[in-house]
Amino acid sequence: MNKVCEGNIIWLASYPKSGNTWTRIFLHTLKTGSPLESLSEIESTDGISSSRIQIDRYLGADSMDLSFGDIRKLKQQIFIKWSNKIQEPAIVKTHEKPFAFGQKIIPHEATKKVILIVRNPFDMIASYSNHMGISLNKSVRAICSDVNMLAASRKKGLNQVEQHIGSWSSYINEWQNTFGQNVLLIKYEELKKAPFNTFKNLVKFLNWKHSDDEIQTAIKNSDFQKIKALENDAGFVEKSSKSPLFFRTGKSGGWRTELTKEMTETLIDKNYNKLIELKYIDKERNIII
Amino acid sequence: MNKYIVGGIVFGSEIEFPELIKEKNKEIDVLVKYGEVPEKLEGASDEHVLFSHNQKDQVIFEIPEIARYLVNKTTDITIQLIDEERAEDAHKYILTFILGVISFKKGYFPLHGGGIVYNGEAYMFTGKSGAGKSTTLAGLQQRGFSSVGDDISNLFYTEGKTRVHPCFPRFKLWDESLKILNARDSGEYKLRSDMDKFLVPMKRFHSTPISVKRIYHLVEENAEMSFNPISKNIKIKNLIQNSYKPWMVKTFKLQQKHFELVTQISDSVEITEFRRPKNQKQLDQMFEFLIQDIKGE
Repeated sequence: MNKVCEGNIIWLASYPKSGNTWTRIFLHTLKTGSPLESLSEIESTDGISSSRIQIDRYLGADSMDLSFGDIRKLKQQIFIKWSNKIQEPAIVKTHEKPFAFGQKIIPHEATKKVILIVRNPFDMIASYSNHMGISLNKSVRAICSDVNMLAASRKKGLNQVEQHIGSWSSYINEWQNTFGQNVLLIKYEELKKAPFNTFKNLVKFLNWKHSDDEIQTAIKNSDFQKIKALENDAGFVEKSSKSPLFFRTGKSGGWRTELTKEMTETLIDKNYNKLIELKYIDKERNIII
Repeated sequence: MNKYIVGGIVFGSEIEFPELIKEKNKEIDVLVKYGEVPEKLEGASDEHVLFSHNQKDQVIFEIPEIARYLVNKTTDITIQLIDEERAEDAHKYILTFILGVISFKKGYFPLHGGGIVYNGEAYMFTGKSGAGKSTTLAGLQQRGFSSVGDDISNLFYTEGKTRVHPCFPRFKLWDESLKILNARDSGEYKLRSDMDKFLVPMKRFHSTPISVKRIYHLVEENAEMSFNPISKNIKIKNLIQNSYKPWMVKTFKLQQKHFELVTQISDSVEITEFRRPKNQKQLDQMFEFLIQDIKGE
């Protein structure tokens, strides 16, 4: 039986570079009814779970003076304080996995629901590589590793605290297994292919009241090319210092020209069951994107 | 009883703090001692995980598996060790977070950062964690400047001037910064036994209050180095954001007094944003550029 979710946080969870920011922009433009003029305006969430400022605020201490182990142990309490503070359901972006090395990170007591954005790893990997400033080979190894982390170095992760994201498939499995029916899984590819139905489903899940026209307008206002133009004009604060731009191509199927056979085979070996379940490959290991 | 002065506050302590400047004449403001500290405060707020505060003006702060601290008003600090073997680690938090608590309660503006002295005036450095405050201060010391402290600097306003009480003569540097500054083996020791963050003795320390000429707000950028004076209407916001743990102001209900002090500091001190390079190869060039600005050349 699923444990009861009794908190106020609606987690907008995803592996990095899977459409989380695009979803936030859609939700922002839907709420405001107008297009973004700058990417710094995005206010659809109550922040990101790894923000050092937010962590320190709820911790009541300086996280820079604590060890990674301390912060990991305290995260679930931090998120419960966060949930209590916001009082009404609010969306919080996260790349965290519900557990890190056996330690609970995302507690039911802080959670209302989970929006889980998933993108096929074959297309995601090039964006991931670009964002992290590492090679495609290293990126493949990272997303196939159960100990994959973000901001795992104090010097590199100063604005954010360490996050354990694990492998691509373990990330999805853990959110689904931990929060069961409280999870709405949205495939990035569906957002691209059928934006109206997919976003409408999301709006319904959130219990937000918006007309079909409003949803259509928000989809137009969050068009990928428009967002990209905004970044070209004035930059984006969430861009990694290691990559020239946050938004890359946003295309599906680009993996065909970017990945080697060896890379796709490694991704399939490690994530086979989840790839089948999400219909990203068939049983003969053919990629169907 | 040991007696030390830190940020204008005289600590009497049964514990020895080799980092601190000894005080002979002034009376003790705050007593530091071992004792029992309850796990919870009666009637305390429930907003934070490691920190709680009640209407009797008591604070409990806990560092998991190391120690619990009770700060009673502004007069005494009690430490209860959770792990007896980590007493050294427990003592260091008196010099960081607990000092921040006491500084706010004593009515100072604890700037998150430190400063150096040039021509009889202090030039302070602040910015977000990781902006390079300590590295900049330690680098300026290597180039001959005295320092007034690192991490927390208690600013106050008197006779129409903003002044700073020197903190204590240690830089707080990550191992990576020691490497960049070629400063390993300079007497450093760990701030906490399980972390690669070090306290590094300062070679030149200015130990008396001094007026503040300018505050540099450090921003690390992949761009050209530049100095951008911060306009009057943004100075107050900038100062508020750069106090040590700004949330304490509301917690201790200091909004009005704090705002008055911030306004006085804002009116009497220059604040300049310094965009410093991320590329460590440009470090020498950066210091040259910065020193020219400090000297007005």
